[in-house]
Amino acid sequence: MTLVLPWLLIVIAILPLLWTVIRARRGRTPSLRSLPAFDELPAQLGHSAESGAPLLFTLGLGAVGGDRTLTSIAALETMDELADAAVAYGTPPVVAVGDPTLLPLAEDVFRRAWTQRGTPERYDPSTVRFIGVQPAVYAAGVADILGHERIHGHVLIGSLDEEAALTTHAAEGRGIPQSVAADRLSALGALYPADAHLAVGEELYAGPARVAGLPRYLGSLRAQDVLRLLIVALIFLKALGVW
Amino acid sequence: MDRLMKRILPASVAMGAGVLVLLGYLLPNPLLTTVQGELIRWAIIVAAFAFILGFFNILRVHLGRSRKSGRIYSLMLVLSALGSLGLTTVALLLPPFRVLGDWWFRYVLSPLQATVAGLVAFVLVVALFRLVRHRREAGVLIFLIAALIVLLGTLPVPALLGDRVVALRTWWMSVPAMAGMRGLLIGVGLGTLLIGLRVLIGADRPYSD
Repeated sequence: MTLVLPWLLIVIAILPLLWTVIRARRGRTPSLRSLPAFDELPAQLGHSAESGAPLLFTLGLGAVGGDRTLTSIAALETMDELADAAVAYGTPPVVAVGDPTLLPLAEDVFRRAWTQRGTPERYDPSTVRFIGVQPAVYAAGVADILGHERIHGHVLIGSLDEEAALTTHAAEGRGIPQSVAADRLSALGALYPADAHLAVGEELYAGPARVAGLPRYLGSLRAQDVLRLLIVALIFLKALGVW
Repeated sequence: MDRLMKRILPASVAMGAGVLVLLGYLLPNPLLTTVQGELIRWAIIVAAFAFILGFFNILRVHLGRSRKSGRIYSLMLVLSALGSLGLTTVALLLPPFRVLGDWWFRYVLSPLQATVAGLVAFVLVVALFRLVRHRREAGVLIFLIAALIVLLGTLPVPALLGDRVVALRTWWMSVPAMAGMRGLLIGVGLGTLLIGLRVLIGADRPYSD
């Protein structure tokens, strides 16, 4: 039974995922509710280009190869969907990573974006910065960038703990608009009081779907909804003593 | 050929490795468990090399800033990074000097980290004041009530009031807060599951064009 449940969950997740992807490719896309934390990003990118100051992407402390890997991939995908536009505008964002395993992936996003535009020589290696693996050090490093460099907006997407408050505090001090999304409960409590568009918990994983609207992302959201409904139904049945 | 090297090969390696590791967890087969363990060991070795990349990234970024404003801080950072590297290397190569490496971590790096972490509480209080001033919403009221209950329940207040507050705090933490936390955790779990599946089926390829 212990080994059957994960298989069952995977099958239940894959079916609506594939179903929605196929439907979306035929032009029947599901409607998505508004998520200001991500809906504002393309506009923020435009404002950043007008002002000539880049956005700062804070990707958190997630590593590739740990329990935070998939959160980091979600953050990377959201950034990836904006990278082409940022490069086209000529104002690629500054990216702060908290684990060196994320560094090559984040660098690759912008190297590819410049290469696709036919100007790989314009890629600046200091676009992506490794800050430090300790939460306090990472938050202090990001706060320093926000406090002392010319930054138009702060986009925090990733895995962080309560130290995230140090970064949002620094941005608020300079009136920098912010969009924040974190998966950790400790970070959500610290980010709620911040003056920012906040995406809570699972909303973080809707980032690529909101920004790009590609069938695979939309399918993923629909599968999430189906699984959530199933879990809620099971909880109700258990509470009623039926199951 | 370009397509093979940039798309098909990376995707095949990633999907194959992902499927093998997953099967190692889900199927009780000694061969799969061995393969899974070996792949995880490789990942750890690759991750260790990533730290070298990270170190050079820090040097490159801050040496590049040495001609701009705030260069003194960048210079300090570069010197500290090189100093840490030197001390740690000497401590590893020459055991009598291990005390130097320990001293550096215990009396310089750890207190500095603790100092920055200590600021979080003050920053949160400032954020809370700003929140009350700028946002008048029902959610903010609930947030404040929850914060007050938990804070008062944790403080050593006089016994008569204290018992009730502690009981309220315990109830708050174990019923509404726990329900909310579980809801969030289930959502996060589902989100990660779906991203993992997208990577496994090759729909997401964060490692290739």
